[in-house]
Amino acid sequence: MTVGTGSELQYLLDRQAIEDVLKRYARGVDRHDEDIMRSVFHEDAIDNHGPFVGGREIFPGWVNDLHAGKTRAHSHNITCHSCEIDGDTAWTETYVAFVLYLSASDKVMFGSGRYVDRFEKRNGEWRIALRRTMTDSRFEGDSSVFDQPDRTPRGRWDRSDISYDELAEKEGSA
Amino acid sequence: MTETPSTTTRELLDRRQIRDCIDRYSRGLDRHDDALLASAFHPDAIDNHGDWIGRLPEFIEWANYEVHEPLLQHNHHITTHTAEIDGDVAVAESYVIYVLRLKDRKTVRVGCGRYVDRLERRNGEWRIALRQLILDLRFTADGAAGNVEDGYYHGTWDRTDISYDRPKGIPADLAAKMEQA
Repeated sequence: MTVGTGSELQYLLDRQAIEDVLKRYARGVDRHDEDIMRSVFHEDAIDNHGPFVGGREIFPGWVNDLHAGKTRAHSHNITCHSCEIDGDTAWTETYVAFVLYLSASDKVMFGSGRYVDRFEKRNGEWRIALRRTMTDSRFEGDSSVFDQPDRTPRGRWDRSDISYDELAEKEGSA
Repeated sequence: MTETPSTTTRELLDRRQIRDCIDRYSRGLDRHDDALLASAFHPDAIDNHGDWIGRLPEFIEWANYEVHEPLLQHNHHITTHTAEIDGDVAVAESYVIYVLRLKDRKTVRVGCGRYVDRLERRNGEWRIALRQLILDLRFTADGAAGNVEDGYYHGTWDRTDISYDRPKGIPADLAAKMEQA
């Protein structure tokens, strides 16, 4: 690769675009935002989350129901990431540290998992074509301290979340 | 230094390659992939984990065989990462949250630390020349929840881990799940 050629810049743009999709997914899930969640998948994409296999039309509803049914709050943190680009296909592995404040108890569950994805670039846009989700470990902690009142704003599962005040409306479209 | 497109691209590529190298260490360690773990280091690199200090190949032996012997699974999450680059040398600080699930299926050990690395670019490739781990916090947690089968894929320490797959279409096991639905 010669420094400064268009192909190097394109490679960087591709890597950044893919990373942005991964982060947008986490944001969509944590805010229960169906529009954002749909925007990270191709129309014919398949997502697998344990017992769930389906596309972007049904995944957001499923994951929102799951989280609303079992948790009071959650945070999906994207950590390690590896990416192999082969033309208009990219193979990625992305670690997630997901933290769930359980509804049924005062416990928090901290899970370590990985998203194993096939991305495809169509019409210049990278989106997920296939996602398989792994869980590697889970542990629990005591979250009762979280309900003690303080002045720090809490996250919300709709557009009243403070992040929407600042982030642009253009989160990607389905 | 005059900012030219090629200078900027070079710096961005350096940042990307440095972060990739550090993520590659985690992946090589968490998959017990000796070759991948070694590829994060220069052949003469030194790794200082406090309790252990030395070079390859002894580091691989310690990391992928000895120290993880009491464990079932582990993940080394890299979070906040910064790098300062000066030509062919860089210094990076990368926060790590490491989660170790013990074979007793009850205990999970968690640490919050930082890797402070000196990386060097040799023959066009950025790798670690010196790594030091700083441990900031450590705690023990209840890992019993991990024993409930959740229906997700689980990690392995060999090439059967699905992260090595490159399926072009829908993998057979997923197709079967979709048939049943």
